[in-house]
Amino acid sequence: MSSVAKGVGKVFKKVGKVAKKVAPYALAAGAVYFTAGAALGVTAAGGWGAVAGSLSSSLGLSPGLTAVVTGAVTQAGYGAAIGAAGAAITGGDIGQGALYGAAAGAVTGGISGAAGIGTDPLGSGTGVTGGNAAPAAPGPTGVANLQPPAGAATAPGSAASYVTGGNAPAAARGGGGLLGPGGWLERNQTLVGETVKGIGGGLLQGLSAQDEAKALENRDRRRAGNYASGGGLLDRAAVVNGARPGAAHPTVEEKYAPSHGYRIEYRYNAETDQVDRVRVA
Amino acid sequence: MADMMTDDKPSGLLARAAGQMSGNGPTGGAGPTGGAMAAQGARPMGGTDGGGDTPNVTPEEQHLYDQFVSNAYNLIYSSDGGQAGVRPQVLESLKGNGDPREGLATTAAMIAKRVADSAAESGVKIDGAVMLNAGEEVFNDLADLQKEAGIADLSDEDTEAAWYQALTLYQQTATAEGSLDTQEFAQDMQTMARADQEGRLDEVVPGASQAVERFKSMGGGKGGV
Repeated sequence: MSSVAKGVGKVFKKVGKVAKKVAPYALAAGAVYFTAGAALGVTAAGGWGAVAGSLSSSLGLSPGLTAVVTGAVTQAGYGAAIGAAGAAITGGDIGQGALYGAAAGAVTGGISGAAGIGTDPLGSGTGVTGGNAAPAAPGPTGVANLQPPAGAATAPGSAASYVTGGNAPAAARGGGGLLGPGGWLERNQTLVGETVKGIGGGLLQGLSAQDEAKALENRDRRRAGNYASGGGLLDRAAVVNGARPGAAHPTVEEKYAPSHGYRIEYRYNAETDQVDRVRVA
Repeated sequence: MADMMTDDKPSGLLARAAGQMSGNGPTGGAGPTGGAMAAQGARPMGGTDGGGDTPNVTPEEQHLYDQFVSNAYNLIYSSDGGQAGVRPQVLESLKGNGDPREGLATTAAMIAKRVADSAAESGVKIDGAVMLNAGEEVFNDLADLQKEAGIADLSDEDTEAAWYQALTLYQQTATAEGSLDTQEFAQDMQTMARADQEGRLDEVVPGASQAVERFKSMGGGKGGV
């Protein structure tokens, strides 16, 4: 069993608290449904509309599982309810429309979605604007568009061509969407500074990136303070841990000719953001 | 449908923003579980969501889960320059161009895909069990956000539909790019089918038989799509 199906029985400690929750049976149904879709390889080339009616024969599913899968398909709005109209809108391929969001509204009953208006929710606001989109057209807000992967974007008759009307250049697809070159990531590097860079380098390393960003922020603040008047690292008053408060520098004897067996050094203490006067043997 | 559960934990956009400001969730993320938020009691950190379920996963699985959810929150919520809060692009996406159900589905799928892709880019494979559960938490959070932002308060039916749609979007996108092992999932389906025929489907997929009854009671599930 794949871990997706096994995941139904797993209980994790939640990170946050949520009010609305997917019902337990919906989680199970979703796992079965997801597994069936992956097993059948349902993509833009096929779609649920083509395979959901023949689950028993194609996958040898039992009646119970067939009920779950078809129930989920229907519940999701990909079932008979959309009928020929939905298939027509999505080019005869329901799954295709659902996949790339442009016609998702149509699939789920909202005809407005058929215009193919899309906005990368994490993009700069320039999104897919449908089949007649001008390359530089600013994307109006609208149905979020799950952009296809870069490979699919160039395939003739692919969903990407569907989304953009087949002829729109990459720029018209919101600059590469989520996954492609010039996509969301590239367009949003500065949104949250180091955090997003951390995401780009591997989101699961984001925590360390955050830590790094925090450290850099602290460093910059310290530096700014150092060059500010009336305080900071270069101020004599900053030397507070020395043996002689107020003395920013060691005496010549202390530094070069210690007669007492040690010499004095001043070392920056990053922990306290101050200079410590330390004795060095 | 009355199966969508709710708890009485207070929540809200301000609380979420406060969490962002603190930027110190239980896993260090900038999500809605931050310290300030916890201090306000808005969204207590961690826990099992009041369900009383005891975690039954390995520390490694939990760690991945925490990272996945926290990083998803990093995409949803901004902590940039003191302007803490929900990213406006996310809110716009949740509107779904007038179809909030669609908006919820696509936003959830997109964020989950983005996190998963980024993990893959850095050589981290996210276990499917983690994906399913972490994705569910993110989905639920977005549903809450959609409601709290005044975009829509989806019915249980619509929320469930959005859940399946989100799964669809994710699965089909991943399948299209070849990141799912079709053969592995086909074997899983056979395992499930066998278990179903032997009357032990719930052993394999807990709650699946409940789903069967649920859909049958709705008059669907007859393969007539």
